[in-house]
Amino acid sequence: MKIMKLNKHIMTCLMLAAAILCLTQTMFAQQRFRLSGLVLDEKDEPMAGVVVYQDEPNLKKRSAVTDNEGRFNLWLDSPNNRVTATFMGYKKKTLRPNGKSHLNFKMEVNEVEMEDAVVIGYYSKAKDSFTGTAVYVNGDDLRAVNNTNFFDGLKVFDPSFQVMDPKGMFGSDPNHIPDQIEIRGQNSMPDISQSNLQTVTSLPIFILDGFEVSVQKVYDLDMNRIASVRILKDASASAVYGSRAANGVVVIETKSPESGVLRVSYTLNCGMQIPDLTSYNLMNAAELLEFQKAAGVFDAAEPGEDPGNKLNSYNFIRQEIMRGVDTYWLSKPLQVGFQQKHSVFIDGSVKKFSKENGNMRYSINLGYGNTNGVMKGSNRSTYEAGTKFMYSSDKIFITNDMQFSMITSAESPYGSFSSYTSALPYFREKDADGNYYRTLSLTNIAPEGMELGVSPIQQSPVYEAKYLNSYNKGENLGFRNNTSINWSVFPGLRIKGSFSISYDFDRTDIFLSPMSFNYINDNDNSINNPDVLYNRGKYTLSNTHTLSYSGNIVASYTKSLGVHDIQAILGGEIRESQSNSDGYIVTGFMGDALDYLSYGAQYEQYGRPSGIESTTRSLGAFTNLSYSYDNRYLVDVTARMDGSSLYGKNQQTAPYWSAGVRWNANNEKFLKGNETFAKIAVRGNIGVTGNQNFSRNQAASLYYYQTPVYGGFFGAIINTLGNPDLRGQRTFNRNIGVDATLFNNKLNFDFNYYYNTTTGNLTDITIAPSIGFSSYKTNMGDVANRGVDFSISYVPVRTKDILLNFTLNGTHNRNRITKISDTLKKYNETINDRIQNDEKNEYTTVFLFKEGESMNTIYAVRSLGIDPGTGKEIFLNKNGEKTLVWSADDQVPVGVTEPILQGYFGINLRYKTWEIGTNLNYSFGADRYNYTLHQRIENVDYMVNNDKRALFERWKQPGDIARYKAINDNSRTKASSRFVQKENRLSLTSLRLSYTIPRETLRGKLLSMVRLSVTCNELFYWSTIRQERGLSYPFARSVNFSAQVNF
Amino acid sequence: MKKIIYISLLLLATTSCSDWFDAPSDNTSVTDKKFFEDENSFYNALTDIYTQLRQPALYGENLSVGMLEFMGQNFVPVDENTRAYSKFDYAAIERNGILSAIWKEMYHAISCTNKLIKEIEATDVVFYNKGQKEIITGEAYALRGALHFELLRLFHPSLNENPNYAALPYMTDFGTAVGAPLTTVDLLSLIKSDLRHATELLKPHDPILTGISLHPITPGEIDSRLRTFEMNYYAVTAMLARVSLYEGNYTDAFQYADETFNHLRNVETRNQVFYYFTPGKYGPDFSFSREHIFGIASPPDGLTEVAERMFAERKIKTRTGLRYIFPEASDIRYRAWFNAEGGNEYVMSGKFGKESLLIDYNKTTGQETTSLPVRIPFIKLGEVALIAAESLNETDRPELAAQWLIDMETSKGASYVASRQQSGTLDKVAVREAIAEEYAREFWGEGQLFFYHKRLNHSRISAFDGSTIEMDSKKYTPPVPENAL
Repeated sequence: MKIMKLNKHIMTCLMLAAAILCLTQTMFAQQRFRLSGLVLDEKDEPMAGVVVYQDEPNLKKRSAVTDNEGRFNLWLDSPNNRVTATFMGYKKKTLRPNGKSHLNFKMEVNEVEMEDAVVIGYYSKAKDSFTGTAVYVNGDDLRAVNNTNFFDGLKVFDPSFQVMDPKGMFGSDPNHIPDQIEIRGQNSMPDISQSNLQTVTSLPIFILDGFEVSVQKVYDLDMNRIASVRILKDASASAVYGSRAANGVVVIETKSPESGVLRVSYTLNCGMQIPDLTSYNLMNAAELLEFQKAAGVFDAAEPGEDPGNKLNSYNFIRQEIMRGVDTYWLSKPLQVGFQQKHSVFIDGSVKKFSKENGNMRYSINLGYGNTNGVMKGSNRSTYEAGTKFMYSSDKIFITNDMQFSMITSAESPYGSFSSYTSALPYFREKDADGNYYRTLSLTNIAPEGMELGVSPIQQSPVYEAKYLNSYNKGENLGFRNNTSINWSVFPGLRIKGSFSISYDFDRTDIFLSPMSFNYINDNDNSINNPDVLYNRGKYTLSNTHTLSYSGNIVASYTKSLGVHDIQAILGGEIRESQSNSDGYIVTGFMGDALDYLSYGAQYEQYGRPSGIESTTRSLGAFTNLSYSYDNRYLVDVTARMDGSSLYGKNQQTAPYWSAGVRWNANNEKFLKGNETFAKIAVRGNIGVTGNQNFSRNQAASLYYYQTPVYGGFFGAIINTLGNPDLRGQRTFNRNIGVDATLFNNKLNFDFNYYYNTTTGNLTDITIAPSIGFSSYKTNMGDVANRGVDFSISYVPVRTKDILLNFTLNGTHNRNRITKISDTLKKYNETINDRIQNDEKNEYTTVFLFKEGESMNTIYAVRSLGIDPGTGKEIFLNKNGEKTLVWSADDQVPVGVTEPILQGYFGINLRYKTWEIGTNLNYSFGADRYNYTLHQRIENVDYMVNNDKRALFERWKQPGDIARYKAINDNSRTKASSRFVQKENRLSLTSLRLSYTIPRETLRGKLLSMVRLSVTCNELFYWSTIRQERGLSYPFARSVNFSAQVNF
Repeated sequence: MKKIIYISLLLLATTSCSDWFDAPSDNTSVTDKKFFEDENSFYNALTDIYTQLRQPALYGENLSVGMLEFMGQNFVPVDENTRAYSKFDYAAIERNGILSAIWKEMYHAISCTNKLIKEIEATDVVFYNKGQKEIITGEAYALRGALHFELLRLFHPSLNENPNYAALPYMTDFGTAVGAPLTTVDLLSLIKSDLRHATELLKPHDPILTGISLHPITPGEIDSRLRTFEMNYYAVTAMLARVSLYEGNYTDAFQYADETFNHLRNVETRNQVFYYFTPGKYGPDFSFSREHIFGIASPPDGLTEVAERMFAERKIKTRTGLRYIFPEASDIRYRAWFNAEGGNEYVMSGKFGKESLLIDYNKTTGQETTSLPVRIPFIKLGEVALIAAESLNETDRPELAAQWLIDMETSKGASYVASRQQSGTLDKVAVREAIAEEYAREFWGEGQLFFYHKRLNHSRISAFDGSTIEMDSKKYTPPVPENAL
């Protein structure tokens, strides 16, 4: 029995085992579900080489690769297991067969410019997991605002991106490349050398397709090639650029070829620019004469002097005015500027390659642009050509982008616009025969022998442009090749290597005719004098060659473990840039037409060739780690180590870092799926970024060879005491922000508060002269910028036919100097001395360094206005007492040029294929020092033309309540709070209308898309203060027509 | 492929980062590291220090014909600035930044010597000429000591007035470290130690000891390396004599002074680079540059221009009673240096004026041959003879002292001491008197007379107009410029 029992047990065991075995066997037999399918690309073309695999966490990863027809066969463990298809350059796609044995995949191109990924330049991050602040601008949106000027377009999208031209000097000059762009305020102090304030050139860095380019390259880039632009503003966004990031980073991606049949796209932009002279309010001839008379120009200077001769002049000018002479000089150098730009983009792909060859896409871009500015003769032409190849297979993705460009520029021969605003309107432009006068003077037409007591003389600004061959031309040739290889090592790990080489050649040719006004005295001289002949006329030539290499390698690893997502990035970068320039000046040209360099008689007397040769090298390593829990809580850390040949010997490497957090509140249970709160994210980050705005000379002790000899031997001098500890200034960034998408995607907003402190500005500090030097460069001087920026968009209507969109953005920034060196304090004394004893009227206001004040503070002596009794100005000294004497020591802060709020607002309406949109720029609460009041109403030279208010609003007789001092008071007006005004401003940045011809009408024709648009820029400008703008080059309103045609 | 990767990794590992970062910056300048990779550069760096000394802030004007000479009362002041010098009104002088310029430029030159010393002592560059390295190093040490001494005798009161006065730091490093002010005694010992170290370096190699040049000299060419343009061995011994006399160490002073004269004893006449000019031999070389043991070469627009402006244009007069200073009209100094302006007024237009040229140093450009302009005397034979005489006299050997004076005055065509010796009245006091007279004669336009008075702490000196000035330590010692330390 016992045995039986045992047997029974054994039997049951055996049976059980057999049953299990059977069961498992059936299970194993069951698993081989065959799934077949087809993979198509976005154009419904079959894709070869796509990896398709079973995508279940706990099961074996079975995979297959599509053949040339895009077909695959895959074995699944269960008929409803997830299947994923991946291909480089395409989005990963996961489907469930749902029991079917056939499954088709339609792949979508993973455009890097897709809005839900943030391209940092070296790598990209999902927008949901990004803790930093970046402003994304789609290429089409950018072009819609301004299709000719990148910077004018971009600033509309982010008010904290500002192109600075505080005095409005450069207007619409097509050859003026912005040299001061601030993102979130100015964080570098101006450099002082030999007690002169050097202009700060602060620019963000521009990353074009992953590599840094100069601002000029961006300025000349064909805007039709731009796919997207991103402005990286805080530490989390830009810390990976380490030592270059403190002024912000602008990442530009160009269009990539799309796969499909050959496609040709042609874009035409043409437009005109109309000079905008509304800010000028100059006197006409009669008013000017009245002004001069009131100012006492025609009065006898000394008692007892015969006023007859001066009266002669007055009467003669009056006669001229009666004869109708009233020359409007302002229009003389101006024209309606025309511009055109043609861009061709051809792209396509070579399909149905075998699996090994993968897929090849290509594009060719061609561009030609020509801009004639509103000043006659000012021109800029660009020529561009390039090709892009993209090869992709299942593991490798290779891109090669090669671009050539040529730019030619010419400055207007009419010179600076300011010479037209000062030319006297009662002078005739031409003589009776229609020839232009060389010198403007009454003697040109006054009868022989007439005694003129007052005879102003001006150089005709028109003469040289009309008759002489002087010119100023520039040329730039550029070549750039970027190659990148993207290797998918295994799912999750990618390695990308990129290499860029670029070469630029710049040349400027400046020819000054021997007949020029500069040599007017020499022209009268005896022609036999070789000293005169050999120095007349001047040709300045300069060449610059720049060769740069840059390479980087980035490995990125992503892994999902349930609710945990991690991304790790590790990269390195190496750069070298060699630049050399040379320049020569040749003089002694025999004639105006003989303008080639070789016609010159000699090198400039005592001149020597100029030139600079420099090499800078830098090396960086960076890492970024981010962790996300359930896509709700995110942490992100970046670190970068930078080394550069620019730094001091003891500081050749410097670390930079950032750390950020983000909370995606919309992914919390209580909000998930709630359409009202589609997205609410709170993020914050801190970090340190750097700035490389100094030259190597400041870090090393350099020996210079002296030209004078000591007993036949050259000496070599050390001019500066190098500071081996010198490093770039560092900016500590803090940012917190909220992003939200609310009410069924109707309302979007983005709000940021930042507080950035920059320490270690490069400044001179005074040291004991017993060290052998009186000053040296060190890191001292702190600046803080704090502010907010926000953008809101509201879409009340979004249907198939109608889209209405309102946008508003704004920024507010406060700058504060927190620490300065003693040298800067000393500089204040020096400059105060100079303004106090300024006889030549060189200074209007001066900038003083004061701790606690902004770098945009205006300093002036407080004014109580003009005494109605005497027409003299009454000041308040620093102790608050009244005084008539202006003293530099009494200057106090009287305003700050930072507005309370500035930004843009706009409306966009699309109805079917029509689109209309506008953007306006607003600014209020800024203080401005009105230089026009200071220089063109008071402080005037009576012998040039001036603002009308100089005649009408200056004090004339006792009892006059006037804003401006006595009309005949020719004493120097110095910085006074009277000229500080509050500015509220509104301008129409852009107004546009576009029409896309519906597809249906085009069907069957050669064309696949036609879009026409008209854009007007700067149509109006309204400001509470009246100040002349566009001093050296006038502003312009522009109207542009654009047509895009795809074949 | 793998091999290439390994090799490039190896290359990366072996090339250090800091070398790679040491990229050349531009072609107008070179970093110190690159600069000192070449033998010539050490010479260039040294040459520049000499060039610095000739600027107007230093020996080009202030420390030669300018400030110091008005302070020594040799010239009649003509305007506010020069009157400030004559009255020792240091506040007014400093308003023009004169004292701080001297301070700053001297210390700048010193910092350059420090840099040179630092680099040359660490260099492994092999110098082509044997001894070249030692000579450059020696000159740098000598300059450092000498320049500190020049500052010391200006900014410190004389040793017997206050040996513990501390104003100057002794700078020996190139960098931003500030030195503490040291007492006169401490400074003197550092100065002597640098100068002695210089003699050790120079003695075995300096061609001035043998008269044979390091380099072959082509006939007709300027021998720019002629040793009297630089801090040669005998210039250092002469400086040591000056320093020793300053601290009252007569034994050393005499020894060093005497050694300086070894050049005349040991070197063949044709190879001698300094010697007494004798009447009729000097030609247009009115500053008697052959007597300069070390003279600073000046460009045509240097000292010559300054002297032309002072004496030819502004006609700055010499002190009253020049005739009594040079009672013997045969004295070639009187004849060569001064021009009578009538009314017993004289102008020192000859000595450093544009007519005064260096003979034997000709510069040939094309077919034109021009002579070099006058040099700025830094230390010269006459002073060394006076040091020797004073040292002997103060150690009670007036007869021997008199002989030194006689040798010196004979070369000038004068016989002030010789005639007194014949009349047999040469005791210690008389020799002292004779030395004082010689100080008033020998150093016109060289700034030494003020330092002579200051060293001996004379409580009264004779003013430019013949009156007497009461002197005190305030007048003798300019204050350290503000913010100088």
